[in-house]
Amino acid sequence: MGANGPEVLLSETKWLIAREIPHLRRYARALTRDSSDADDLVQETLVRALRKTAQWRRSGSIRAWLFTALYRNHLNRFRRRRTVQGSSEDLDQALESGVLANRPNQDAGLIWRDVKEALDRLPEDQRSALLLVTLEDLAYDEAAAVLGIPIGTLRSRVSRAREALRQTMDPALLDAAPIRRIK
Amino acid sequence: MTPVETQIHPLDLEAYADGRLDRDPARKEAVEAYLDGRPEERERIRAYRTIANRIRAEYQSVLDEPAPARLTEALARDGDPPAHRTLRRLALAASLVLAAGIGGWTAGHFGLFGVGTDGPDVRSIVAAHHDAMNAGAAEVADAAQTSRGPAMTSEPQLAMPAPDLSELGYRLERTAAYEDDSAKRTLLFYRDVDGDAITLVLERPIPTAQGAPVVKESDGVQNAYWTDSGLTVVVVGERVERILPTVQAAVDRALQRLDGADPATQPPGAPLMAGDQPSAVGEPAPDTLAPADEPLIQVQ
Repeated sequence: MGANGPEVLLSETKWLIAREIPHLRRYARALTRDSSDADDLVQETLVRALRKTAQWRRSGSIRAWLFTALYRNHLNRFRRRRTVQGSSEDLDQALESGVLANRPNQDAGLIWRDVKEALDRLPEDQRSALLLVTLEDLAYDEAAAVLGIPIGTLRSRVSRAREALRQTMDPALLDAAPIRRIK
Repeated sequence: MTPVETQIHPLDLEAYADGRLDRDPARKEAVEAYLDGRPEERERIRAYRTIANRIRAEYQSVLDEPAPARLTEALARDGDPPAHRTLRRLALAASLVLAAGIGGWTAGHFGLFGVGTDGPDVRSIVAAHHDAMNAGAAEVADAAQTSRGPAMTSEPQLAMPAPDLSELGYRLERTAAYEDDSAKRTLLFYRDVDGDAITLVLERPIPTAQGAPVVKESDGVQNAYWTDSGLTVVVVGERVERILPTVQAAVDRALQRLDGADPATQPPGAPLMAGDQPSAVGEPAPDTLAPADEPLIQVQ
């Protein structure tokens, strides 16, 4: 590796995985809303990914493959946490209601001035879909594969998410934002 | 007069907002023409782009942070702990041995190609598999509340154990059943410690290559089907091709415990039903659809 690379020589596969770490950390941070939890999730994903590199070689984009693993780990971690806590709460319901979010103690009708607050108000399934498309710039089919849903469902979730954001974010916030062409 | 407008779907507008039409100049031009006379729509697109920019700006700092050492160290290490690796090797070796002993499994029938014959209703099975992968935890949690517990009723002549895939690291997570005009099916959802899921389906016979697994790929997952003891068996998962011999052997062993009953001799359309079986972690595996009149799967 070069002077700026990891100190340990990595195989080509590991190097390809290493390149995705910043993106994995970003998506994990957005999913978990906690930097330490996010890095735990990424570490777990990396360890498991290394065990299963043969899977990736058969299935295209390494980024989509890693994001798939990360998202599954995220769901599994929630399941384990729920089991430990003995909650009877249903994950589907939680995903749809946004109850997984660190919901601000405010009424839904209020206008949100902060994009994180606005994202936290979204149902979890919409939030995870929107983040893959807008934050991570995954193709629609890749994002659908990551979430394990049909592409039509993915696009529907993204559509509902951004319309909800548009409806609830402060217009001044939208007006003040610089307009930049999206790649 | 304006020129005839191309039909623009709301999803086209969203794709435009996402910059996904750059590789389709004609479509992009059509969307822009559509927006020319619709300032409200144009404003909505602008808002979507602004929101996307805000989200990216919010999390940009994460990309700029140096990755914690524990992450790069995780990569530097072999990700496969010795014990786990050994188990996997043993599982693989076992599957290879079993493959040699399975009649009808031949290289000629084993690969990712279509055979052009009518197979099982794989699309709905793949959809069920995706649902199980995505929301399996929720369904388990939800259905556990309505489970009838491990003591299932059963018709003795139809009772069989769920195929045991523990040698591959998979445990039965839940069961379900559904029916359509042509068949009733039992679905068995398995998951390993890494969260990988496979779905095994038993249904009434439909024409397939006799006894030999046919492996295809659909919606990003592999599916394989074959016939055994008069049943059509379908398995769906990401790496079915690799584990198929072991799965096939496990199903075969389970079917051999039918106490002489031949599922194929049951009346057409008779339910295959799903019974439940405690999972390895002690959670009651549910029967979410509960057509429990004639369980095929019995509690072990």
